[in-house]
Amino acid sequence: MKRKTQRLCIILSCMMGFAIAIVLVLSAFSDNLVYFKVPSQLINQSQPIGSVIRLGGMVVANSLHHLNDNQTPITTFDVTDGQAAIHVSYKGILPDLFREGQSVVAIGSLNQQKIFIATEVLAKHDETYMPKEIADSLRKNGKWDPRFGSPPDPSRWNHMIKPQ
Amino acid sequence: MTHLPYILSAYGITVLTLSGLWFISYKRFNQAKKKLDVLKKHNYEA
Amino acid sequence: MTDSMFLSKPKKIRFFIINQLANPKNFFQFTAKLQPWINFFALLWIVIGLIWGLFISPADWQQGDSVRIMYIHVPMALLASTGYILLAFCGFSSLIWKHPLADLAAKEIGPVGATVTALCLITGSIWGKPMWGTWWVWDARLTSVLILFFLYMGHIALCHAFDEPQKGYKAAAMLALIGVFDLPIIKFSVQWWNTLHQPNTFSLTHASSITLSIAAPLICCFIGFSLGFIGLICIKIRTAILEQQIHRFLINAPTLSKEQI
Repeated sequence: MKRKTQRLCIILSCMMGFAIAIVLVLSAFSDNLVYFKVPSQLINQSQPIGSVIRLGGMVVANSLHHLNDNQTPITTFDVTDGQAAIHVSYKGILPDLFREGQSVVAIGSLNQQKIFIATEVLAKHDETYMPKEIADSLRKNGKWDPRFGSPPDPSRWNHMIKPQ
Repeated sequence: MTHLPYILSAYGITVLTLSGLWFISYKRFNQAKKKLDVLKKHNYEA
Repeated sequence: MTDSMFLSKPKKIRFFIINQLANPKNFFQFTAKLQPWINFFALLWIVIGLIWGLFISPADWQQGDSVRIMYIHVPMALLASTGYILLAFCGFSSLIWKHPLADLAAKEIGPVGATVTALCLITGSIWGKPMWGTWWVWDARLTSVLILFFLYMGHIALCHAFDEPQKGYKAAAMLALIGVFDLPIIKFSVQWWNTLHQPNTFSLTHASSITLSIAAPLICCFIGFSLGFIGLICIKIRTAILEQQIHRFLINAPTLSKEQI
């Protein structure tokens, strides 16, 4: 019995030490573990021009414009985190889920005019899954516009669809 | 905007891999069982 | 006592039967009875869940039919983590109590867990391409699951690394215990850091953002795959017990060469 307790103590103290080490390392590198930065972070910090950054945020409603340059579509839109907005220009084909009100991650760099030139745009969908019919009826009722925010909680759908 | 190939390949890969693993595990079990039976029989005879 | 010598040493058999309910022999007899039921219900739930998910459940308003990949991706992700908890538990009881079944179980859980984690990564990648627009990104969630896959692979490698299996099992048990810290990182990565991966849909603390028509097939699939996972581990551990007996027979009967069987 004594040897078992000894082994238990050794293992538990090893694990404890390991846990502390991992917490320290993760909190030290926390800034590098984020996949993207939001517009307000990018505007406050002065980034060296031309360095590759990942910009994340929501596409501002009514900011989406399509242009054409020799068959390649050029898209410009604004990305916001609610506090600041950055103008983004992207030449290429957008993912299917891209729309106004969608969260996106743009990979590219800021130029002198503070315009973000994206080389790649990824769509980030949220964790709410909603059947098409419910989304349609919510939109018809005018209860929810996907361009202005994430979908409502499932517990409120019935209440929102039914006429009061 | 059809994503059918993606959906079918995801389902297909999962079902095939898991049933493959299942098949291999049962084959290994039956082989071990057969081998042990032979050994036991041999032990009784000896 | 470090070995599970339950066949060749009668006194120790008695010791284990009295003191430890989960000795290999009891485990073998118990799971042999349970196995057909586990297999049957696993298959039943998986078939119901997959058909429900593939044909009956509604398409998502923005993801369309691609959301159906969730019905396999999420169970695989949950099982990948659960499998590792089992692995760590086996490692723990192997190191502390030298439990005879723990090393065998850990050795057999490893490959199943690695397969499930690989399936989670593959289906996630297949889901990511049409939705996000990329197969892979190095965000915290995806990277931590990839680390989990490498932990499983490391565990398998360590189990086979030494000529003397017990040495390998001990090293593998230590790796399983250390790797357990990856699990909270996987779970909370989507809250702690910005990731491309969406946050957890199921939550214990606030109302989950999933509706019943989508949750029901997901739960079906999860029950089915979990039972399948359990069944697979049971049959593999039983095989390992048989193989251990064969090994012992061959050691005790040197006259019997391998060619004879």
